[in-house]
Amino acid sequence: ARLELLGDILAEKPQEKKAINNALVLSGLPIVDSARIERLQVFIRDKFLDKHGEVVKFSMPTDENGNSLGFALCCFQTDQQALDALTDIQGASLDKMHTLNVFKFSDFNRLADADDEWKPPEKAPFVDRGDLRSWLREDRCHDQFGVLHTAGSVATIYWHWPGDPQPVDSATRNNWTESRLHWSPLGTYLATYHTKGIALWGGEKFEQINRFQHKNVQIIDFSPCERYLVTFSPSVTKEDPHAIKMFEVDTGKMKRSFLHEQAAKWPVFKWSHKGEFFARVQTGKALQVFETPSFSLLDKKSISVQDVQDLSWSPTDNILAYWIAETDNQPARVILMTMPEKREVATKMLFNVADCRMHWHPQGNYLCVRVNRYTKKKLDADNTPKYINIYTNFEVFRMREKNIPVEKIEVTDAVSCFTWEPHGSKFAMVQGIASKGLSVVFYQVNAHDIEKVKVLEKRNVNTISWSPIGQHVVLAGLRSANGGLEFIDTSDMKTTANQEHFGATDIEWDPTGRYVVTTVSFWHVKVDNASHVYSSHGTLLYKLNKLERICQFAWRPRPPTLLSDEQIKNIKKNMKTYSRRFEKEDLQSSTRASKELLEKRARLKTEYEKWRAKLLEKFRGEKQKRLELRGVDTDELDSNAQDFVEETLEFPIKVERIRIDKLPQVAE
Amino acid sequence: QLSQLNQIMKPICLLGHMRSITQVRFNRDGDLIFTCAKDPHPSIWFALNGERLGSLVGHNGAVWCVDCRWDSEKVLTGSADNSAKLWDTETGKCVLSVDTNSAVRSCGFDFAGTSAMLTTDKTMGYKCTILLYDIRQDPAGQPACQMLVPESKITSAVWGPLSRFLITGHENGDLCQMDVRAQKVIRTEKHHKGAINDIRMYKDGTMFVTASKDHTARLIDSYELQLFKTYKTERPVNSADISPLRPHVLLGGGQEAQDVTTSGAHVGKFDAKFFHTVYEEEFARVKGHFGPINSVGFTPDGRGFVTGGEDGFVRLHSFDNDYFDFEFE
Repeated sequence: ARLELLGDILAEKPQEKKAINNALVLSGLPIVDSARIERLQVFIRDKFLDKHGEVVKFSMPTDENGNSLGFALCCFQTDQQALDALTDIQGASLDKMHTLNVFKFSDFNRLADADDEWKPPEKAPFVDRGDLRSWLREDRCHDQFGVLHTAGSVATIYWHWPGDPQPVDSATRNNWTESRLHWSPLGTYLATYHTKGIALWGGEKFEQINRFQHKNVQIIDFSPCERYLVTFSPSVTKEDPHAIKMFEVDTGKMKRSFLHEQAAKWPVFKWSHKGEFFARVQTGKALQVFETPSFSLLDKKSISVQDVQDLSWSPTDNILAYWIAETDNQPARVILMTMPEKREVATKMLFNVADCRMHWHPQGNYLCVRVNRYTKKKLDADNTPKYINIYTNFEVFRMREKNIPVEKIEVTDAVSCFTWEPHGSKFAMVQGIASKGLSVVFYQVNAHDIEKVKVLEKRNVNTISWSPIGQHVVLAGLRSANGGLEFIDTSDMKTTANQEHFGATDIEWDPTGRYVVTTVSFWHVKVDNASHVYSSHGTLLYKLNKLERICQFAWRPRPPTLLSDEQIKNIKKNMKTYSRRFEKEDLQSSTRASKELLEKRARLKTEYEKWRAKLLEKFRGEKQKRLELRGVDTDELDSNAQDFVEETLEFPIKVERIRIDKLPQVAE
Repeated sequence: QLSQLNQIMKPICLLGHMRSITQVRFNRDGDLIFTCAKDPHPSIWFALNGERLGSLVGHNGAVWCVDCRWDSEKVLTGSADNSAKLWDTETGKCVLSVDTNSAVRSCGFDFAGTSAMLTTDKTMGYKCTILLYDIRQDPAGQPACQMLVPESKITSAVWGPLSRFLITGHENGDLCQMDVRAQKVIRTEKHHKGAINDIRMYKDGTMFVTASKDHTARLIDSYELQLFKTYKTERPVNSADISPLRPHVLLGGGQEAQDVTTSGAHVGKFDAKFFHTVYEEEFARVKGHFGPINSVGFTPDGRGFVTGGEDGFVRLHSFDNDYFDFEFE
């Protein structure tokens, strides 16, 4: 009996942990003598370790003379604390000559066991990916678009031949993606989601270019140059606690990964326009700007900014804009800083600020900061600020002018849907509240002022969609707002067309600004799923409604033009000669199309007649049986005319009522 | 495109039912229209001017199906009151009534007009059943033969050519040829992904059109159930018919009740759609109903068509000259 009891107890004996995940090795430390070792230890703990958790063990080994050896060991109370510390202090600089190199103690053995002899890595075999830009060389410069349909189980890529889109060869695939389709910013790759991670497809035949492992990936982001892919997955484990991973697209290698705790808007890391930097905000504390291709912090440290709230890159320059919340003794500020110099090029103080949002002009010409300001501020029971009488200011930074002057616009109504005109200098927004009637207001940024150029009242609009080349805009009421679409040419502020796509949930311009597509997505509405294609002036060109249960319609983006501004000017000047050539080509292709259509129909007709002939043969063969069953010939409606019975039916055609006042006298 | 057909043709509206229409049928000669609805009284009308001949009184529940014998002498109805009744067309008198275990979903006279087929719903304890009765016997008493349908229940059924077998459409989209007398399934094909709501024979019985919940209608041959054409729409198709005169197919449908959220009574959504039989292209729509269309049919001479809707209305249209001259390039 005692032996059995022992078995139970033995099972409960604490096991030695095989991996020590809460211990870190810090190396790269300066070598100091015994006199200063104590101070160094305190310095290290204070500056790098204590803020990440409780250090239960800390040891700085020394040589026989009491001098430090340049490294230290520390143990945190939990694995998570160790990991946090590792991410944060790795690569941090102590002074000009010393940089911390931190690694997990559990990695130590692996590194120690590495071969003493350096073997050059094996050369990876060259894989010819083919021409990833092949689609841009299409004869007539047609764009492609991807459609996710049949409730998401089939995805097809089409050539957009207006009126008659053709599926690309071998680009209709079942279960190509498990959630949605995502084009890379320059259109080179198509990204698809899978439980295991992301796959990228490209080239003429949409072959698989690369795969990136990230279990249960939920959302992704590309760097604007398409060199890097950032993925996020909420599924984190003890072994792999990093929710955000960054990959190099060409090689497929993971370059860096990050923890992610606080709730935030995606993308968490924002890219500079050339992909040289990416940055995130540590709310209230600092800006973390990383550089590529090293993927380490710029200058090896974060930029400490108290009360910083959010940041945003210029889309065309290495300028980072960020705003700082107001505190009891300091007003809020918006600061523009160049990278990597970290030079402040503009600052704006803002008073009585509840919240800020930054909107960059797509060509980087302006930055508009939308500031929600209040007249009174109260503190709630739990010290959260409550703002009364919120009104909105728009601070417009003129980025291309000397010293970046800032101009202000005030709006008292509630505001939503702020958008800049691409390649232009207008911006638009929806003002007002739904119950009193919404208006769409257009402003123009002139050389010396910002002018309100047009107010369109009583518009049930919740989306303002500009053409990517500017000038044309669609005011749309998507989802619950009944699908009204107003097409406006902002050069003269005239409405070119009013359309309706009832129940439309999404709207997207093609990359050239020629077409607008509205879609009723199966993800939101279960019936009438279709995409409607309009011209830039609002003429309905055709409907994509033969595909069932369309979930997503996505144009393939194009890389920016290789033509210089000078060349574009020349083309516009000589537009007439170009037009003549294109009109001729259009005419040829439309007659070609109808010829193809006629041929197709002729083919279908002959096939059908052949099929019917076979069936009629069977029918005639059964005639005798039919006569037997019914006793008369009923093959045609008049087959048994001799049996017809003529029947006369009388219906009153007209009924007249005549009033008789007096009956004629009856003669006695 | 003939998209404004209904502006030229003025339909005759038959207002005889208080509830949604379930089926509309013509007799072979085309002078009578038979309508049944979710109320217990099917009606018979003159196709010439829409005047009602009378109603058939006797059922106690929704009437799901109706059929007229080839000689127009007799009418067959099937109801949710677990019975099917045979009526005399001229007098409206019920001459035969049979009780079933569950609601009668489809019914039809065979080619000779001597047998009637019924299909019943699958309900508590009772499997979906096909029943054949010899209606020359009086009373009909027991069915001449019956067949249980084990899996997906029958949602629509018609007699095949020469009534050698039944062609049945099922809730799961299956299409079968059933030889009830031999108690076997001759053939099964799966062309549809959703329930088959209606099957209508072409005038010669060599092919038929199916209307399905999967937003399509399909043209299929009766002998081998081979799929030949598919007509795609954006809504579930409740009923379809093939024109006896021109290469046109008529589709009627609408959204499911549970999907009616904001679009509700959005005008124009409940149209009858015309497709070219061979090219599978839609070329016209006729509006008018305030709810989904449940049953459609061409007149036997192909010069008009009738539609019955969820709104209880039956609309009888006559084509104008443009329809007969209209050609695809």
